Amino acid sequence: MHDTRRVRLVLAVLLVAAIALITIDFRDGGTSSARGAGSGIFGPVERVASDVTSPVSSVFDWVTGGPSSASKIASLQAANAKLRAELSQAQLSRADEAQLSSLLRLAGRGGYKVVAASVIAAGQDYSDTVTLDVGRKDGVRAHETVLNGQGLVGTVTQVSSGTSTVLLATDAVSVVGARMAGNDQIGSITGTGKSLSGPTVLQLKLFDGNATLQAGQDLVTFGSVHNTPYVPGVPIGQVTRVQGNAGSLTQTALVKPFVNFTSLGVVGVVVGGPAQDPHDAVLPAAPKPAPTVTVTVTPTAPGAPTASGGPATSGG
Amino acid sequence: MRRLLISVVLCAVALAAQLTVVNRLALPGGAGPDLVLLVVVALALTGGPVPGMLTGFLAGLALDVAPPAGHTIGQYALVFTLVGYLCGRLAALGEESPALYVAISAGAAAVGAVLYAVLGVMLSDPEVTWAAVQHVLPSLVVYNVLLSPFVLFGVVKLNGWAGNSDTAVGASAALSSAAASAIGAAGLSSGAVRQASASGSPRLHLGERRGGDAWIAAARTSSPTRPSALGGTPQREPRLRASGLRGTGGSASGLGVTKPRYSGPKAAPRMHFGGRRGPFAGRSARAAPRAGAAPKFRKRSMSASIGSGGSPGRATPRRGTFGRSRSLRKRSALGGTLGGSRAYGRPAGPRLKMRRGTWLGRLFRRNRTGRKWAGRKRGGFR
Repeated sequence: MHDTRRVRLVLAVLLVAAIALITIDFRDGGTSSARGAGSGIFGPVERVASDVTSPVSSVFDWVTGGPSSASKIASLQAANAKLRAELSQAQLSRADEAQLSSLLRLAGRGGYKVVAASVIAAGQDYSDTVTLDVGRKDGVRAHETVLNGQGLVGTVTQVSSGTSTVLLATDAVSVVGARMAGNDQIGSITGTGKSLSGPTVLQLKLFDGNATLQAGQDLVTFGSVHNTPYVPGVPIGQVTRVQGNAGSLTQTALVKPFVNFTSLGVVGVVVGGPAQDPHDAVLPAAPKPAPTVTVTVTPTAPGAPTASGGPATSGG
Repeated sequence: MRRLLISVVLCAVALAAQLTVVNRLALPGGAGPDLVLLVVVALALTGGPVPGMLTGFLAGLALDVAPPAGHTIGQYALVFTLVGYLCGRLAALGEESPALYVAISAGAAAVGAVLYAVLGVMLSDPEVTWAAVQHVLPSLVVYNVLLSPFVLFGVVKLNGWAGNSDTAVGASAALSSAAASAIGAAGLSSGAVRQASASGSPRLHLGERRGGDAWIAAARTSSPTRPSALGGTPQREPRLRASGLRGTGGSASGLGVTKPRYSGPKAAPRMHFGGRRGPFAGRSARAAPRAGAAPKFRKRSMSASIGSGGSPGRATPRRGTFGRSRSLRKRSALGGTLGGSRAYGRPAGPRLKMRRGTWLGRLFRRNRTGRKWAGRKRGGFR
């Protein structure tokens, strides 16, 4: 088991090259131009691959059929496969359409100007990142908020001409400024990455150690300066479990995100922030903790339902 | 050339599938299998250290810069380079039994995942924390180990297929060769097509023929891209190839159908078509001993003349350098322009019947194991 000199030489060259790459990229803080080149090369590939793999199941059904003898059967099968592919595409489109409409509803409530996009690729083992099929030529820039119909998804970290990379809110690197929906307490939401098993959770750190923090409270984004990287008012999640905070200056809790991060489909990139902070207006099912309308029923005036402002409130 | 194409295509497919499909699946456990790593392992096992290293480096670099990646560039390149090198080195051990081969690939797939985690922790990657490693690594290793035999089998099969059907590569070899005349290229292509149609699909034999000689062998052992490898018999037959082209297996296969035969002496006369100093002659002329049949001559474009003849009657593998001394070879090992370093006989020991180290060997104009064979180690593992 001896290496030839050439083998050793190649090994040494490659290892040195890899370590040099790591060093350079580490020093640049992950903003080296190689990434842009990589996006330019692999972005279109991923786009095509994603287009190919999404309706491929219906084609498999056709391929696995038995051999045909007559050309008529072949043509019928071809037509059948085409129809099946169209059907599957239509079903896919319907699912996409539902996501898109809910995205647009959320964007309308908050006054966000969004560019709709699809997730075409996802990151490797330890990172929670996805690639979107929109890029610089669609008006997307780095450090813009990404959301879908349920709430906050993440923020754009890199943009190439046709694709963009999104750092999901669940990633261990991600930190989002958050605000409690009821009492305007502020804190930060950190992703847990892959360090916890089970359903995805986020970690809330509430800056005020004395504020009330209990399960069931909703969180929205606090908003950043100039709306980058996060616009205000985007729903994040709901507090599920308050962690022990004895003797600490801050309170921590686990937050269940509104967004299902394992099945991201249609998302929107916020290219224009709201004119004013929408506060809690974007939150889903907002009237649940607010039974405000039916309070003013006096016992002396029965059966006089005055015109109530809130639509579809449940009469208690 | 063909190996290069297959490697590139395999890595690209694995990368695209990894990013667009596997990573988006909500698999139980922390993470899914690492397809690119598995492909690198399989290619290194079938290709040897240098192809393994280069494949690993380039595939890892692609994985580092492909869009959703957020980690430091070079991490996967470093890890996959090491894994490719290790697999290429350990491939020689796997000649003993197929089970060992599968074990090596599974072990390497696990080692790659561990190495990446270690590197991430060392670089204090905020995503690769100890808790995350504890959560991700077990499932990653399990998926990798479970999937590695299938990927290895697929790559071996693909290599066998590529070794037999030379349609595409024959054309590309013709394109890449400045020496090929138009007529020669046309003849090559048609011959290649004939060869492909005659060859049928490759079959894999596990441990057949002589127990332990070669466990992976394509059915068509007469394929020019599968030199030698029925070791162990003193009676051998040289197969000679000469070509003015790039000397790929595909280039010689055009005449595989109509090769002349004669019954020669029992041991191998070695003949070289082409001048020794010619740019491709040394690389393309190869005497490959085979068992129990008559010598075959394979030659294609006869632009080169028969330069030097080997001395007949030698059963041992010949030194590859036209009579240069070993020290001379050693001295010029880094020169890379040794003309005859690829003309060698295979040793008589057990050999894996996959082509190993050929496409890059051509790139470097040296075979990776040329020196050992020059030292006439018979039957030893390297």
